[in-house]
Amino acid sequence: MKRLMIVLAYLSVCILLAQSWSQPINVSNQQNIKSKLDFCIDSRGIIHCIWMSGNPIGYQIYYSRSIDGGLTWTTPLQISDIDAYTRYYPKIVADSSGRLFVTYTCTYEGTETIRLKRYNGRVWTPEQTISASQVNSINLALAIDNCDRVYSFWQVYENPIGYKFNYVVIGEDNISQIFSPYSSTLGDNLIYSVVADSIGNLHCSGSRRETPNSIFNACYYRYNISDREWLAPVSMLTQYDAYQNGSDISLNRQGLPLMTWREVLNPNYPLNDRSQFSQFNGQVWSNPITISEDPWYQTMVVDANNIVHLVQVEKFYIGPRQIKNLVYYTSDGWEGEIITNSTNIATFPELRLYNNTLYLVYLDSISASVADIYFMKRVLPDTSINDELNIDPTIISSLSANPNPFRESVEINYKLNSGGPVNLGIFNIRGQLVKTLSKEYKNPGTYTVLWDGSNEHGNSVSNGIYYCRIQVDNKIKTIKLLLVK
Amino acid sequence: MKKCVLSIVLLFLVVQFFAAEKYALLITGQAADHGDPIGSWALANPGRKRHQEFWYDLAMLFNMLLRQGYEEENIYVLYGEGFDYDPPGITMPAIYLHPLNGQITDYPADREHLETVLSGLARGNQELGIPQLNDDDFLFIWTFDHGGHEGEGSSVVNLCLMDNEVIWNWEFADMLRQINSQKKVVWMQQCFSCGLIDDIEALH
Repeated sequence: MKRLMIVLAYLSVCILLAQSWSQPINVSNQQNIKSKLDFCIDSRGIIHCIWMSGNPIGYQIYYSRSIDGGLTWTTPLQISDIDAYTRYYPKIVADSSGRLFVTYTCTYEGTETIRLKRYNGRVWTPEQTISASQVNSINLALAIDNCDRVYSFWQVYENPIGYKFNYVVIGEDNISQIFSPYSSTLGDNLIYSVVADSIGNLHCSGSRRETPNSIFNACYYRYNISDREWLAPVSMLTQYDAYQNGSDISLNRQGLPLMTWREVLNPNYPLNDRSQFSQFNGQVWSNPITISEDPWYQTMVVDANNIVHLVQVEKFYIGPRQIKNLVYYTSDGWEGEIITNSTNIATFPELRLYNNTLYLVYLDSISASVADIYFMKRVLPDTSINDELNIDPTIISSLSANPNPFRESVEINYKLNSGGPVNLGIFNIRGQLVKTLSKEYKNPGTYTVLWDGSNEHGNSVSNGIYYCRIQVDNKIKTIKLLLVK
Repeated sequence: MKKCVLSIVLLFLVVQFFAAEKYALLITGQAADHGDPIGSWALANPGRKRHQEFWYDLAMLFNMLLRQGYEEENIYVLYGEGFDYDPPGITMPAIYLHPLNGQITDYPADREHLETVLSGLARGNQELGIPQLNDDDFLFIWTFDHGGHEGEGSSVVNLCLMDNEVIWNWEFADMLRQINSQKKVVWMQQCFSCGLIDDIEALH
């Protein structure tokens, strides 16, 4: 019996260690201005990472790779051509032979075109313009299917119809004509993230706006490879404008799509957002659920057990100073875990799944001018062992409010599966702390706290939306409250 | 040897203490845009009330200053109603955004905030973290708005701020005069800006 206990304890420790994120590893090691990034993992497990890096002229595209699972990285190499142009928004994919395809926007004297760069296993080829007939093109997405067909998508404005996405299909030695699937449809049709299923259909997350005065609805687009046809876009139930940053799509084990996007509730400064999630069951899309309030970029993958893993940027405060850190969620309770320790802004997360391990690349910064690209990974637990041991990985089991909306006071109820330092507070829509309700160590159990609608000074706050956020160690959960006097 | 090292360290500290800092103030008042990036330049598109080109020039300048070694906290940006131009749905070129997608804009471009920032640079404002500039510092000022003047042929001109507020040439010059610096460089893009030359050309 004693031996069994020791084995179980050892297994529990192993599982907990395997479930934590590795220490961040600096990929870029160039302390200058940086911005958006992308990465892919080829069939041999080599990780290829690209990013925008600033120089006195503008941005250029840099590349680094790791052949040891992210432990060490090659010295950054500028892969964009060396001239007076500026390049940004790079995307990368690898085909089954390990060849790389990189696209980005290239700007010169106010004209934007899409450029393609290939790596054939030995050298990078010179840049090739793939949006030749179109100017003012902004790079949106790059995808590859099982047959090594590479799709490059970009944004154009077609006067007077609206914003559209165009694309080409890139073969080994050729590039297709430019396709404009919604060029005759009035309104804006845009995509931001694309994934191919096992038979080569494309599933895209994007947005659609029917008239200039309506809102951008989060939207799902699908391309059927068998009849080479784009289906009618499916708009999600979107209450507020869906933003481009933070729109992502993934497929579950059955090949059905899941989408996440960011909505902006308050279009005026300061922007206030929420991240939404919806999934397709083969017939209809589910009603969107809110994962958290006030996020920035989201990136998402689905594992072999159909668990959704999502990383997004969230705002925190050190005194009056706003910083941003990455928070990791799973669909197993949607409890957030703060996984970076930035003193300024951690942002642009990109998440991939390979061999039951999450790979995360992101940017962390000391200031706008001093930033680096970082890599982390997390081995996913074997859920069969988890189930046998009956381990509930969440700390904050629940957080709810009653009544909500409320007139005078609201009861905040929460349940902890394990003890820890609890920080429970009310925030306004600007993300500023209104009142701290609890800041002490709590044992496992169920708790209730009353908020009487007052701030730290005891004054009544005005009607409107507030957020209740609980943090225990690095785990967080947030709910929305509505005060109506 | 010890003395030599000590002297070098002391010299380094003295240089650091008195090192000149580069500061910038970017002001874009009326008619700054927050809507759709559809349309063209103001003159080619007179039907629109607001114009996104104000944001494009401001954001490009902000990014250029960062690349030229200006610290972000030393660049004070007053734009429109106090928030960036970043319309939903549409992907903006990177040159018009903050490198980390943070906020470029610090304050609304109204009279109250302009006076607060200028007086902060002149006398310091601890609450807002605006330092008092000294005789070694360099200050770059850029303005872009519709611009205005008192009447036909008048040399009394103004910057257009938000909510139909204006700041006249002599007021602006007076505020700049109170800011210490080794050198001030003023770059103006609004109409009638030449009317400010005689007011500000002698200010460092």
